[in-house]
Amino acid sequence: MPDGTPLLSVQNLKTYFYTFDGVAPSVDDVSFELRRGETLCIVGESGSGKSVTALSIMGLLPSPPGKVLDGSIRLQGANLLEYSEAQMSDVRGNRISMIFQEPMTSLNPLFKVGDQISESFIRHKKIGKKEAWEASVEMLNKVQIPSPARRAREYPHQMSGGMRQRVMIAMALACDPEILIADEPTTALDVTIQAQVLDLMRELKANFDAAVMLITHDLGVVAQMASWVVVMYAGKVVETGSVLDIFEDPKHPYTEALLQSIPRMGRRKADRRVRLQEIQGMVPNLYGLPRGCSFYNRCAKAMASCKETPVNLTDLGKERQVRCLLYG
Amino acid sequence: MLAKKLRRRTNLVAGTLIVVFMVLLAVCAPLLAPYHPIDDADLMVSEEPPGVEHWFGTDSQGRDVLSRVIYGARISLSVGLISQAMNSIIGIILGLTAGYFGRWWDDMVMGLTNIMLSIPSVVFALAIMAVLGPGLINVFIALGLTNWSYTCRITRSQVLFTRDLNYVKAAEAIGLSRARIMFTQILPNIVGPILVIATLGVAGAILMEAALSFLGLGTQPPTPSWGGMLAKAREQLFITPWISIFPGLAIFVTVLGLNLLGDGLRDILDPHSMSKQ
Repeated sequence: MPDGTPLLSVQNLKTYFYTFDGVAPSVDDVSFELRRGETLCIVGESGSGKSVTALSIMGLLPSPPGKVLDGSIRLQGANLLEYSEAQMSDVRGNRISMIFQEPMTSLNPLFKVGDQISESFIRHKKIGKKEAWEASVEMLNKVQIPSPARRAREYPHQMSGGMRQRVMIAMALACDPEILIADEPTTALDVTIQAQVLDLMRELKANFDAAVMLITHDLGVVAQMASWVVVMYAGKVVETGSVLDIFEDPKHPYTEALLQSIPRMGRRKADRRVRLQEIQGMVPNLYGLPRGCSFYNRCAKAMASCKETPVNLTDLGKERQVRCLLYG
Repeated sequence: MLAKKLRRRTNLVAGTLIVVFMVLLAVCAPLLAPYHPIDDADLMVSEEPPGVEHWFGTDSQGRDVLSRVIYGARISLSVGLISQAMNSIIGIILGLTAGYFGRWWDDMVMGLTNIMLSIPSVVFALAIMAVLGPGLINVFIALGLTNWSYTCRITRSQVLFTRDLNYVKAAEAIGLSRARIMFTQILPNIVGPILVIATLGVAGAILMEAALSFLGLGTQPPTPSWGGMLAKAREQLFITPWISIFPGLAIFVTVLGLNLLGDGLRDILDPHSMSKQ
């Protein structure tokens, strides 16, 4: 779907948290689009606003303290922020699904996994318990769990982390959603299982014709999965672009520094034993962000004007945007 | 294996045995009681001390004390169970919604709970009884409205913890309704502590019924109730002690059994408070 309305369009989203310590602009003026068949990766450190963006889309923001102040989240043109709670619960799990970071705790310990997947069918497809159970077994088969009929009768504690994440994916994809939001789906898994789960997600995306919004801090995952990348820092989008552009030609000093901090096989030899780069300093406190660039005090290319001048996103063409005075 | 495990759970085993015994007494009262508790009054044998004919003796109207104690179990246990069931239902619904929805509803419920906790429960029950008048049904109502605050608090605090667990978020993410999440996802995971409180609450309600009957507001004579029997026998405590000792013992043993059961359940269901083995 090259043109026309995108599947999901987030425009100028502002989600703030009001706490005793002050107001934290967790998501500040974030815009991006997600088209059918694509995978959008949102990259950033802890606290950069990735998960809050996802929860805002799902309408699952802990509120209070969280509140969406401004912006729009359009699912095929309809603004989800104007939906009632009842309307949103029809969207959740049916048109947009989400899987969470911790597969070990994301399943209810008291119910068989088959029953937990069935909930989704019963809720959205309005089918009976027995049919839902059969559909659940079929889903377990689709997420490549061996002997699904037997596994469906098991409880979560009888499964490994990778298995549970597959069950979570089965739950999320049960009603054939248009969008799957995955919040660090592989972080808690070990590396071989990570690769299997990522393969599975890619395969399922193709089979189910869903768009995927993948939240991660792992650039390796981004390189494998993404078609588009949104880099977030301290609640703001600092750079967007296609995955090739971002990796080949990072514009923002933060993106550049992130890419340099990935260890690469053989680089030591080629570059004559260079130390692995790190980004100095810490993510700034959201309660007291500077007026200028939030990355100012960690940036290798910082200029005097960066500290005070508010920085806007600059359009570089080819759907590339960057928030940096170097390009302004 | 099982025997070894059970030996370590002395509280649980002893409590269960006592409670089961009392429930059997209540259920099978007509079969077990040697005399009818009300109709078999024989003034010729009034105030007989315990003996072969009347194991627990007879009261001032010549009724068999053993039979009255056995029938009294029916009153005490049903008051305990029914009023605690009311307390649990009220407490669970208020605590669950307060913890899950939060905001002003939470403030209101917790305010009400704190008010309830600050009023001595006997006084509150007495006040309701004074309005409703004496009688067994009114005892159910009075006690059923008195003690829900403990259940409510426990439920709320458990919900606050469970609400943020990932599987609850995952259930929200597949679009389950709030009511469904509260009752099918959260409640089953927190029944343990609620059950413990409920067991102790049954014991409390039995004591409370005895107190109300003792004060003349509860079960009305001639219906045999342990508290009522105590009240009548009080004046001749030193002359005919058996008329008061046996109903008193029955209250004591039942409440002890329920408390032991509650403690035993807590050891199993709540790992934090598990006593060292």
